[in-house]
Amino acid sequence: MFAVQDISKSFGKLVALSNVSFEVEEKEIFGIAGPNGAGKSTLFNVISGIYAPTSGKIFFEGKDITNAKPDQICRLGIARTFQIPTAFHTLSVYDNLRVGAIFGARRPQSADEVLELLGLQEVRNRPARNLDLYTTKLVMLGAALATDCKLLMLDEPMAGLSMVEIQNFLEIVQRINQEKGITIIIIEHLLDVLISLTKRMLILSDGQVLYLGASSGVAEDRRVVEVYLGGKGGSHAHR
Amino acid sequence: MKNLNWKSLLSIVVIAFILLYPWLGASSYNKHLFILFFIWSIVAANWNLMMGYAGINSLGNIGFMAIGGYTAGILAKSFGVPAFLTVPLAGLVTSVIVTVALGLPALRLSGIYIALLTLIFADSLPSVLTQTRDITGGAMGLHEIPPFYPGMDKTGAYYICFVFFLIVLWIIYRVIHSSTGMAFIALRDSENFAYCLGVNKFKERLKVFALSSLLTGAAGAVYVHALGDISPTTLGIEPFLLTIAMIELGGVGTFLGPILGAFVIVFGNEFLRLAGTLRLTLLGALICTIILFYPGGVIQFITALEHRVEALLKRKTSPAA
Repeated sequence: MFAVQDISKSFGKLVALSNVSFEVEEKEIFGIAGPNGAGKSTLFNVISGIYAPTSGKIFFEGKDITNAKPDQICRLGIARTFQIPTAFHTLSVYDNLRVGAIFGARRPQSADEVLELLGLQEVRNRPARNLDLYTTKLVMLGAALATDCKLLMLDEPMAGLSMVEIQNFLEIVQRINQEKGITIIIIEHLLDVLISLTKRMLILSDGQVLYLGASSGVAEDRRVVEVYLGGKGGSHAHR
Repeated sequence: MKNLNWKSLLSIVVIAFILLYPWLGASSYNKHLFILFFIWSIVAANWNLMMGYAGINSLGNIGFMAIGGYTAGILAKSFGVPAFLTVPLAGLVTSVIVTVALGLPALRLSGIYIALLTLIFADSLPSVLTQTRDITGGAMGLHEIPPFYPGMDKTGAYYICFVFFLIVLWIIYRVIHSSTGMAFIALRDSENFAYCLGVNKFKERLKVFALSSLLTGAAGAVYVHALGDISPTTLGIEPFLLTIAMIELGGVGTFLGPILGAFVIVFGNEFLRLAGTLRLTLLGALICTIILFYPGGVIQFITALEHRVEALLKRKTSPAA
């Protein structure tokens, strides 16, 4: 349903992504990992239309969306969250969801559905600036969900959360995927979490594809172990 | 809740006073000042909707008013169109001309470039007027523009302008609290996230641009029917600066700010006529003083006052409690 073909992105002389290709199946949870500066967030920014790629193409449900604007991409059915918690801090929780519902889905009632789905009714009228990190991330996720997306891209959604919160968040992600049938691409730093959550994943390093395939094979891949897990360790140094 | 009460109570008292004022022995001169206040409030409030809410740094809004005023004046004088038609027509003509010729290109720009383009637009209008002397009266302007209805006196004009004032403010209030208003808050809080949730900034800004220019053009039409004439001096530096001052003085990006600013400027400007040539200097000094201590304008001053009164009340009641 979703394909990235030979995407490259340069900022002046800096090559952030070079010839990245992968495909995501319908209703899959697809993982993206890689060390800091590998180009993961740049990849999301290119897919969601914030940056135009230097070369390459992106397809969603058979349509070429390479040069579409972020709001057009959203209305086609791709929503995303950001690594930095970016809820609209002066708006209430409910209005945060309404932005996605009204502009992304053109269906105001989807805000109420998401409010219930994520159990945010209690903080409905609270300004988003008065929320803890976990709830802020739920609100950001909720606003993206309220766009009635078919593909949801999560950029390190669990960074900064406690172990309990990570468990809760993972359950929500799986529920969204199974109950609503939403395809998910997730960037995550913690390899263990990603391996247990996804069947297939992509590992980027210095803007290039280091690994693409079954998540179960990641720990055995020598290049991954060398580049991603610190380099000096042996082939089983995945901790 | 307590604050909300005194504010809405005060609004009701003010509206009631304005309604009754002509019966409380208002002089023709004071009614004239109120008419100016109503019209300039509308111009300032629409300008603030663009600058303070939508982030469109337009400097051409007096031009929109002039286009509306001239359109209504020409329609009424040369074609005998009645005023209840010239006002909406002038609004529509202004909105279409300004949105197509100025909004579409200007809104593709950002920040200061929008300001420059809109300023150039407004600045080009006086030469257009001199070139079209036959219908616009050139530098002399248009005079004896028919009033809203034959035999209209100052009280009639006063009430018509007041009703127009209330309608326009109600529309602006609704826009601020609509999904478009929400989109601008979202864009201000986190621009990229708003885009990724489907907000199209250009489209939302264009909506505000079209609506503000429509209402500003209509205000120009109301102006000429209420006062009877319009000339290129409307496009001069003084009305331009005074309207900007109304917004800055009242409070940019607040609903009531431009209205309070218009009140201070319109009445201040008239009472300072006693000072002769020092008028604008004194007015400027007043504006600078307020902005110096309250950069958020009169609205900020009122909020500060409110907090102080609340603190005083608390201190008084706390020993008893």
